[in-house]
Amino acid sequence: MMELEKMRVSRRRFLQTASAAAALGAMSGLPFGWSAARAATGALPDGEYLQASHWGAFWAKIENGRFVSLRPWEKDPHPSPQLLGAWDQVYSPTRIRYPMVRRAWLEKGPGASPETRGAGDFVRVTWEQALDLVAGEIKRVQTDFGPWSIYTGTYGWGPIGRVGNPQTMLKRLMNLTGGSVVSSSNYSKAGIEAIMPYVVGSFDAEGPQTSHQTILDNTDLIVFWACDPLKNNQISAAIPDHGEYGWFEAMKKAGKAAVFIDPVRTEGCKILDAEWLPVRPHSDVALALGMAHTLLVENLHDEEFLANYTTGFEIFAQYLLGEKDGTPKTAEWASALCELPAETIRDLARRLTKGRSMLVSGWTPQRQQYGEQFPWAFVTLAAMVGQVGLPGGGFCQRYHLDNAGTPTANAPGLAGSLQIGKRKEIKEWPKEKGTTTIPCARVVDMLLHPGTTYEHNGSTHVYPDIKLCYWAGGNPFHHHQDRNRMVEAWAKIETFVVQDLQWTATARHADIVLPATSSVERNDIERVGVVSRKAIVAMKQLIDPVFEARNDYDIFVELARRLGVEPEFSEGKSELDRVREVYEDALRQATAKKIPMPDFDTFWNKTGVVEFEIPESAVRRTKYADFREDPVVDALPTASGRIEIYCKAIEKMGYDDCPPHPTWLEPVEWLGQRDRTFPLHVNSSHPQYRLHSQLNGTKVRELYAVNDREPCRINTADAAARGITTGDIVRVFNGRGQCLAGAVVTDDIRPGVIELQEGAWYDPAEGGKPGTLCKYGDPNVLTPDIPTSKLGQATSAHTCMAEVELYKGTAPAVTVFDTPARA
Amino acid sequence: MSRATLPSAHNTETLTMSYRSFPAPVLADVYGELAGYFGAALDYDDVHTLRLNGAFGPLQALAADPRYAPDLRCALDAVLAPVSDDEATVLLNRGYCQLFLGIGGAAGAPPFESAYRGAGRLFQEPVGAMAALLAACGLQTADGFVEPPDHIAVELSLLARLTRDGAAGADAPDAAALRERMAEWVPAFARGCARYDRSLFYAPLAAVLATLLDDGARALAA
Repeated sequence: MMELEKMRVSRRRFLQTASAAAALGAMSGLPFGWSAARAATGALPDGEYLQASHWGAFWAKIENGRFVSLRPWEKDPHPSPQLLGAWDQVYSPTRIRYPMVRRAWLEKGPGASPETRGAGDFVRVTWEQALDLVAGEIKRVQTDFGPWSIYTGTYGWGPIGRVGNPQTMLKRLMNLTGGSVVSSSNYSKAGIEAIMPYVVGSFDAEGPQTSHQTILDNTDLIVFWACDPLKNNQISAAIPDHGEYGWFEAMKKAGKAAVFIDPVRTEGCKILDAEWLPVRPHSDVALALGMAHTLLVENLHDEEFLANYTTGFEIFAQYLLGEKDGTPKTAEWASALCELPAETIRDLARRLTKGRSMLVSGWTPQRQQYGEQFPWAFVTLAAMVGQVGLPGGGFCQRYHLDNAGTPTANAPGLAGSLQIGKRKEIKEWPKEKGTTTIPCARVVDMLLHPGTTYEHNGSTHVYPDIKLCYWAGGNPFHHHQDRNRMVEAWAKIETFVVQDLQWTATARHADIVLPATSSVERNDIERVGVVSRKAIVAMKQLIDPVFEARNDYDIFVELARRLGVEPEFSEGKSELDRVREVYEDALRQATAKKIPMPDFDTFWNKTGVVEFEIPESAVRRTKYADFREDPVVDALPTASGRIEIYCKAIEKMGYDDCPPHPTWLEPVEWLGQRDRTFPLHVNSSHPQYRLHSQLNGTKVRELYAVNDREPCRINTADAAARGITTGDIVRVFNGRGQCLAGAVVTDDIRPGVIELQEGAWYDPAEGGKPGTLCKYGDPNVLTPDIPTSKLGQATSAHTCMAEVELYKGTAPAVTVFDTPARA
Repeated sequence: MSRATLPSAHNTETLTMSYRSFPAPVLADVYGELAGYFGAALDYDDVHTLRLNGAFGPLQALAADPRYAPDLRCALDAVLAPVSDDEATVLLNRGYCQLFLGIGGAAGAPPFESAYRGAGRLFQEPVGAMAALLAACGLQTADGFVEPPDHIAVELSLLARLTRDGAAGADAPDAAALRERMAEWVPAFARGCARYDRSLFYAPLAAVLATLLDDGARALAA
């Protein structure tokens, strides 16, 4: 009888005596070695600790090294239900647990079998292997090609904190090793960011706005145009202060007159018992022009303001009157496009001038084809009303994020610690190799068309040829449009590295996946309120990293070591050193301004938070008041120093998709088009219960999922015509893609429009296969990947038509989230 | 024992054994071997040895019982069917990664007790309970094994130890209690494996474990 080979499996050891850790561990026979993350125990004694998230500050309860529950910070006036996700995501089954490599890539090398991307065939590797592979790829591509073949335009909100931003770290590392192609702007407001510098000399839609108290004191009529402050203010890039609910309660108490122009009746509209004007999507420019025409022909426009504070109105007036194109932009003309009664349009225009009025816009109308036109028309309308710079009057493009109407505390700034730095020119970057920076929403165009030219903001650029793409703390397989086109484009990359904490659709399409820690597993620092600056919070590490997750900073330090630039990258500083650096920089500012702040050790080890006083002088604030007061001394930083209603710089560009004054341009898809193949407009607005795609993989989903799918709101009449009732699984489809969703039948959305909120995780029935059904409800399988214009090259997600039908038969199970209870 | 000496399907039908038929050391070794399979993906040497032997290790003792034999045969076939050790290693590795490492989403079977209690989150109460059990035994998870203590391999390893050693004192954890605890969630784990295992190796092994735990629980109740 043969003797059996000894079974190594039986000798595997998963336990050891507590007193002999090192010795027995060496004999464990495990295929994976000592984890540095595990070695560095950061768990705190049992208790409650203040921590922070994109959804609010909270007390985390720690028991035996586990984060067992949370409660909102008592100074959060209106905690968001999303806060639960800050806890749940830490222990979500969707966490990336170990470094993984796509099998074909590991076995055959870069570029192997790209069709298996997204199919889920990964191999677990050690951290040493993973880091060697990533560093090796960076070296290979830098050497064999050049920095123009590495794309690190990685985009997304990522983790909160002034130190732990992985995107800054990645760009810093790449600049130290020869550079890479990066991206500009964002998927939220690239249209505004493109056009506003020409119109008012800055982005405008950022920073402190006219304060809420000033509105309460002075404004007679407030118009929310595609703006939902009670939804998006739940989140923030810093720690949200959630003060906007108090503002709405105060407006309600004051009986403030409000109008909401929106295809959806929002919570804010209901709270204020406001007028709802259910405008046809994509017709906002027409509506604004119709109102402007009314002001002009009824001589209600402020000629003095237009003469002293703007340029080019006379040319725009000719356009309004139809002197060149033969089409006066009357209220009737606008009514035919926006489906609001002409008299309503005229009446609203008149009401803007009868008392103090504030026009408030969101960003939806600029996330669509020709998206630069609406913000321009909106500011022009406000200029015609003539109240810009007066208390409670004018316009605002950012009341829906960072509670930007709140007063600002007497607090120091809180700068980031790491800088991306300048590119070390190891290789010359010839112009023909392509641009160094692309507009972020053009990433798929770049991958599909390397070497071709494109226009952007008055210049011509060449798309580079990308071989290696590295994404950290973002999820392009949620935020980019036309998912199927994207899947096709991604197959052209040789290597795709993703560094994240969850198995997002993006991570599932990667070649190398690196697991990062969540905010409670590392040290960082952040402030409450981008505008309010109410407090600074010590974000202490509360628990050990789960599984083999490592801090982004530690990952990049290890990569820097392998690439020979560790000293320059880290500057000899640990993550906690950098937290201290950020705080002490703020402390220096505070000391100079005589603002009381404790030293770092007291802050970090005892108080955990520093709060700042709001001076009475900060409560009232009027944006553009200085400009109004003296348009010469405090001129706007535009070419003319004024609001530019006609822009010569844009005229010189000669773009057919961005004329030199606000103009109605019919989009390629909208409810007014003749082709009715896909008769419903898809409104993929920001989600009610997520930060884009963040938290979709957590228990928060239970608050809104319908039949386990992303909710699809549909008007009662549209639903009845299709035999759809609330709770049904529906298929939403057009010529670009298809997804399932759970129907919510409601009259809070106007006929002809469905709402499928962005951020729903892409859940392909067949991973990596273009055209496949998304089982969960990602609206970006439907949206087109077209630019707003050559000026902005921004996303056009809201230019989208589709059809909805009742899904018959057994719907395939959602598999993008881990729900083992069903096993 | 070579592959040729394995009990055939024919003679196993006559060898039904109760849980109590297995001596404690054998059971302990069986638990230990199962812990090895569920604790980490098999590497080439593991697979090579399995194919060379044509048999499991201590686990093979269950092959005489018809309640276990088909599943063990199925699992072994999954190892032996590929034409080469390399191919077998890849197939088993693919199956392990998709089932247990989280990349498959719901199309997987998380090897953690927490995933099958409450809302399916990880690191829940079972982690604390298992940490306490390990501490009571003077144990902790091995260095290099970064899983929480409610990982199936840890629970099986502790069960093996408790089964082999018997109660070490009045306050020592009881093997029967841990077995019962595992019997509450391992069936759901095994169903997950049965539904999603593409390797045809882990699902039958999970079924063997579920049966073994159930058998033990019934034997205890008898």
